Amino acid sequence: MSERNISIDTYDKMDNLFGLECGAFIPSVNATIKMPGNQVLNLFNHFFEDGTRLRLREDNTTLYLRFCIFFNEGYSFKDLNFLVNEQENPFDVLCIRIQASCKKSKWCSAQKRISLSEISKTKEVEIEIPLSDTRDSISLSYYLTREIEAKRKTPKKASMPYSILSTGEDFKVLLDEVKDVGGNHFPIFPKTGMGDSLFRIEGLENSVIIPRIYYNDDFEEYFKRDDLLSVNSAFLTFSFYILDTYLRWLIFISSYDETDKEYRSFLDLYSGYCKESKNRISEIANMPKFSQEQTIEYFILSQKLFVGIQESKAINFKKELKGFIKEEFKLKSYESIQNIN
Amino acid sequence: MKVFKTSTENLIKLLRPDLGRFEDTVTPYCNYSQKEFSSFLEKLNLDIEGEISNDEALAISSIKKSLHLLTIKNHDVPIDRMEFDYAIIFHKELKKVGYSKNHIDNHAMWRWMSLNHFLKEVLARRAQKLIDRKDLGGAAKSIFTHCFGEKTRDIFPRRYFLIGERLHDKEKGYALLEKLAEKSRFEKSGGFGNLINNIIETSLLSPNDFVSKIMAKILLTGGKPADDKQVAKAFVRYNGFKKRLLSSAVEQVFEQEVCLL
Repeated sequence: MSERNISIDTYDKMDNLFGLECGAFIPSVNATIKMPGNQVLNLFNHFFEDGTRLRLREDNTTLYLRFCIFFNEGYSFKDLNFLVNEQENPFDVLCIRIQASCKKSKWCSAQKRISLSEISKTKEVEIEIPLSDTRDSISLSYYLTREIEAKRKTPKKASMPYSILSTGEDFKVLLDEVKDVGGNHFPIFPKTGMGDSLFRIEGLENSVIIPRIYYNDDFEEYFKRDDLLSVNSAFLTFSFYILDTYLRWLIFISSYDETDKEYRSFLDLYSGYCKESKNRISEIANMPKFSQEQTIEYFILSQKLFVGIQESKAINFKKELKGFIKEEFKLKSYESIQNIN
Repeated sequence: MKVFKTSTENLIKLLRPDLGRFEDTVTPYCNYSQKEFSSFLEKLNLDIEGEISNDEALAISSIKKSLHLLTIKNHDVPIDRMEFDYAIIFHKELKKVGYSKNHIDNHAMWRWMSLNHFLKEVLARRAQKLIDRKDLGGAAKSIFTHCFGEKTRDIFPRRYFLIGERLHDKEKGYALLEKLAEKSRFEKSGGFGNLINNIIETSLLSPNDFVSKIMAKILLTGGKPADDKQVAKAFVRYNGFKKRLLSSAVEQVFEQEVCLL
């Protein structure tokens, strides 16, 4: 056996046993902002009901994550017996540990240890987040762990302390605008003096600096919100053109090194949208620039992109359009009621 | 602090030593004083943003003074055995001006600081032997690697601030770092380099950097420090225990299962 293959007995696990009801308490406004159902709370781009924007870093040095832990639907204390030996009582052997961490700055909170008797929708636990130690985002993770070594080893049951018996998807709190290219994020900024233009892409001639998207600064306050249907529809309209322009830049103009982080992010992004392997896209980008072969390959990729973005989860045209239609119908029926009145 | 706004790719193209352009790209690293080197950077018209505050300037000057004193005080100790002393000096001074984990990934800032203030310190630490052998190309390359830091883990001031962040303790202060500094200065062998590589490179997310501290303590502050292989294997073992939440496990677990000496 080598050191790289530590023999760890497999044991029974049961993930997603627990749910968290979580919120971020912001001292400057003395308010708690609730975590939405998708488990991602965006504090960088949070607007209060009166339209004011949260100034997280400007007005606060600390924020507090407050949460209750409870059994997810369909699970109860009885299920914990499955995770321990027959003669053991889960209350004596197991506990829940919760920690917040920031991958970017490598900060990790103190671990909150919660006994099983404290599982309740009313018992609130708090973790302090020093903003100076964190960057971009923090993740809140929970683990059900075995706390003591088993007196007798039973096949398929964890025996060592700190064995993780259950965990679930992390909760994420976004603190800053993420500046890396990757996922569906591009460098986009407001600009004055754009006249009647809404969007422009500049810097396409530069082979080493990523082109920037500019939008008319008349729309700055609206484009920074993600709850406006009209803004969403504007971005949907332009999204294919923007992605296709960046694809053209990546293939015909850019001169990235294979090991470059941004280049790899682009490959990841287009590999996802075009459903094409990263190696293939890289091969196409490295063909002789503007050669017939490269141009044909670009057209094929562009077609795949057009279909791919419609089917992607990040930009789901069909779902968004249905949402718009539904909202428009609501508006129309409201208007007709108004007219009747 | 000032920050390079020019892209890393362009900085590398402009600053990487090239033997074919010896005068322009090798001489500045080996023969220029810090002042001359900063003027050389200015002439490149690099895009720079921000200002250096009085407190930051004082902190840098204090770091340089402390590094100088450290070398004089330990003139018989090889400079590469004083990594933890460097970490204490950098961390102590930069903490005073509000540097935190939040600054760690601001690579453009660390690179500006490194090139404009620590050229001579990097030369002494990484290139003096090559210069003594008249290998100026190798020396310039080594200075570029560790001063500019093509790999972010190598950027000179960042490296030591990061070690400091990992091993400084709110309650016990610099006690662990001081012990490691003393041991690494006087022990003839030991896996101190591997410890640093691992605490800088691996994510090791744990409350209050507990894992870095406990492994450093067990492996390298006891009677006989662990050697390079033992340190490397301990980190491999730790990373292998993915199914266990060892990020706050008691010391005994680390002694019995991870840091096997």
